[in-house]
Order: sequence, then structure tokens, then C-alpha cells
Amino acid sequence: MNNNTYIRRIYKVRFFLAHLVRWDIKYKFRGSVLGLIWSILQPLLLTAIIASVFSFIFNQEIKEYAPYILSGVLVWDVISSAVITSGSSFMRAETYIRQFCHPMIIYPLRSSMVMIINFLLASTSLILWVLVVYPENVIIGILSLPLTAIIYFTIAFSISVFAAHLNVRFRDYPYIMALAMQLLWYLSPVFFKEEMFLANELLHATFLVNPITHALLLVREPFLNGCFAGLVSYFYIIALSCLLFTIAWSVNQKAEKNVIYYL
Amino acid sequence: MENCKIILEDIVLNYPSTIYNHKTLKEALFELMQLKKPAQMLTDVHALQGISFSISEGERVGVIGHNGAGKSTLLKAIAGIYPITSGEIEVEGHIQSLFDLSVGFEIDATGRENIEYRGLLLGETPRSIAEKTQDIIEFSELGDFINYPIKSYSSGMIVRLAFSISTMVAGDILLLDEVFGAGDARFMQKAKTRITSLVESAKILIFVSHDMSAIKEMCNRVVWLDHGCVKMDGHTDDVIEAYLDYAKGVGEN
Repeated sequence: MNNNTYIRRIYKVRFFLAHLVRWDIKYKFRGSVLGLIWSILQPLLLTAIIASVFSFIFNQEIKEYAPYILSGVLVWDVISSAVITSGSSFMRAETYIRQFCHPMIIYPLRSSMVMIINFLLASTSLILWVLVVYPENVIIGILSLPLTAIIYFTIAFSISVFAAHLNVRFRDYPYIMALAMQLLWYLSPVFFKEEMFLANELLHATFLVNPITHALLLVREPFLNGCFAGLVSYFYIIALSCLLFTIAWSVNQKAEKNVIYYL
Repeated sequence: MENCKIILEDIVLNYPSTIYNHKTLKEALFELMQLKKPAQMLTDVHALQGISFSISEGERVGVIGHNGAGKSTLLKAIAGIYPITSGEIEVEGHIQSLFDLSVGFEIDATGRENIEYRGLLLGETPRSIAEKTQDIIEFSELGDFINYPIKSYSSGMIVRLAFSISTMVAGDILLLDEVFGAGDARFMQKAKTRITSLVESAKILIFVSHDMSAIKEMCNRVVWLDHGCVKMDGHTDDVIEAYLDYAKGVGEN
């Protein structure tokens, strides 16, 4: 099927897609008293805990270390849910897939849209924290956020497409990926600072080429240092997201018609 | 708009066996280490084996056949849900399908919310649903229950709601798969009237059923499927007679 027809088919089901996304956001905190406020409060409190522990063990200055961790938590959440949670995109939509031939890509699209909306909501907690510790960075931080969100969305969406197709075919996927993500976590500066990667040359080289390092800089440079991330980081991440998107799109075109046989 | 039509040309649909032969990582490893005999491989299921016929505007086609003859698979292939292995399907017109009516509800949402969600799933816009909501509520006879979450409904109430929503949306081509059995006897009567009017407004109907009297009532042509092939295709009374004779013969042997 050519791309134009496919995009038109996605456009035709936009209201249904919007409903699925709204539903996921609304019902994540279903029945809880604070509701949506949890999506801001939760990373904030998590950071408070981690920052206290780390500042105690590694003697980090808590004032500057806490927003470092908070930004790490926010970005890591997007990446790990794209890899792991999105795996179930098709399985969760089984009843729809069995009855209607809507374009399959809307299901990983739904997962990634939810992730980005959660990311933007949770970013409020970072903005609040930075407002207290580095008030002069807030403006540039907010200015940088839309482009960062678009880039993250492209990456999250592409990964979600891979995850959904892999998981529906290989049900071992989430268990293997949970381990792989654990490894990636240790290789990425989510909580660790660059100094901690200097011990070993190979480790430091991994740190420098790791896309997550650069993805994190898109958020950390503006909010923590008051400047935009370097051109190298932007170029690297944008190129990577375009590449992933192109591959994900064509993989989906080839693989989507057989999804129903694996449900 | 062009005339509605469906053209099927040599449709073959195999359910790939790779799925049934699915191994877990553990099984694969155990077989590799020869701790376990390799599982016997299943072969592809040939659900449809070279089906060709065409349906033009105004035809109301019943599809009959024994269990597993490929009736529902054919319907889902026409709807585009199952990809065909080979052959060609050409469809002109908007397809509206009624398969498993009561699946896919959000049980935590109210009946009213579910009307909206279902409508969107069926391709309606928020505005067009708002216009129809009152009619749907009235037809389903749910009264105040419409504002309660679906999980508080009895199964009959769910079926009634599902039926009321799904039949509110018209299409050029109507695919029906055994949708009767909605609620109590009185509602059944109402449902039948609704289906009849839906069928009348559709330009093409394909109706899968084991209920010969319903087929006789609604269809002017019948296709008899047997093991994934067309065994007979013709006027309703002729095909049903032949089918019943055949079924009787099989029963006696």
C-alpha cells in the first residue's frame, strides 16, 4: 500500500486514536485522589529519595544533583516505556484488531503519544525544581522543550513500532528487554555523571557514542546549564530519529498484515 | 459514487502454521539439548482454497456451510481483517461489519461514554455520535443505567447496548455474522426489525448464518461453502434445499 493512502487511513481514524490516548491518560490514575497530579508528584518524590541516597553515598551536592537525577528519570521513563511497555501495543488492542481493519500503526502510535504527554506533564516537576535552584534557566528550558518533545516523540514512536511487532511474535520479548535495559541503564548517564565514566577508556567511549547521553543533554543543558545542547548532540539525535522512523515505517508496512495471526 | 460491488478472484487463505508451531525459548533450548522430543509440526490450515465469485449492487447473499467451512474467515477476509495468501479482492463501497458485538467495551466507563467510544471505533465523528446518542439510548432501553459503568450491567444489557450502537451506523456493504440472539424475546423482535431496515438501506449484504429461515427471509442468493471451496452458488431456495438434503444424507450415514 502506498504511503499516501496509508496516511489518509490513519487520518480517518484520528478520533478513535485520540480517544484511546485520552483514555490511557485519564485512566492511569483512575480512582486515585490526586489523579493527574501524581504524574508530577511521582517523579518529584522519587528524585527526592534517590538524590538523598546518592548525595549521602557519593557525596554529591544535593542542590545540583537532584535536578540532574530528575531529568534523568524523565527521559529514561520515555525510553524504557517505549522499549518495554509499547511491546504490548497490539496485544492490548486485540479486540479492535480482530474486528476492524484500522491501520495497525495507530496502536504503537497511541503508546508513544501517551508517553510524550506523560513526559510533558512530568516535565512540570523539573520546571518547578529548576525554578527554585536555577531560576535563571527556566525560560531557556521551556523554550527548548517543544523541539525536544518532537524529537523524543519520533524516537519513542519508532521504537514502539519495533517493540510492538517483536513482542507480538516473540512473547519472551519483555523479559529479555527488561534485562537489556538494565544493562543500558548502567552504560548511560541517567543517574551517573560523566566523571564516573572516566575510570575506563572503553567505558568513556561508550558513554560518548551512547545516543542516550546526547538525548539527555537536550534536556539537561538548557535546564541545568542555561544553554542549548551542542550542535553535535542535536545533529546526532535528529539524524538517529529520522533513520529509526524510516526503518520503523517500512517494517510496519511489511509486517502489519500478519499481526492478526500472532494474536 | 460508483456502483458498489465485490469481486473475489481465486481467494486462497492459509492460516500460517508457524503460529501454532510457536515455541517458547525454553522449549527451543530443551529440544536443542535433546532433553525433549521435538514437538510434531502442524501444517498450514487451508481455510479458503480458491474462492471466486462476484456480488453486485442489490444482492443479498447468504453464506452457509458446516462448522469450519470458512464462512467467517471469508467475511473477515472481505472486511480486510485477515490478509489473503493469494488471489484478489476488489471492494467498491464502505464496509460496515457486525461480528462480535459485545467485545471491546471499556467496562469502567459508563454506557454513555461507551456509545461515544464505540462510535469512534466504527469511524464516526464526535459530532455525528452526539446526534445519534439519544436514539441509541432509547433503542437500548437502558434508561438511567446509561450513566452507570458497564461493569454494573447484566450480560443482556450489554448485548442490547452493543446492538443499538453497532446498528446505528449505516454502510454500503453490510457484513453480518450471526448477530441474532440479542437480549430477551421482545428485544429480539425489535432487533430483527432494526436489522431488516439496516439490510434494506445497505446496497450489498453478506450474511453468515446457520439459521436457514433467517437466510430465506433476508437473502436472494446463497453461497454454500464446503471445506474452503464454493460447493454451490445460486438462488436461495435451490441452494438451501440442496444443502439440507446433503446434511440429511451425511446424518444418515
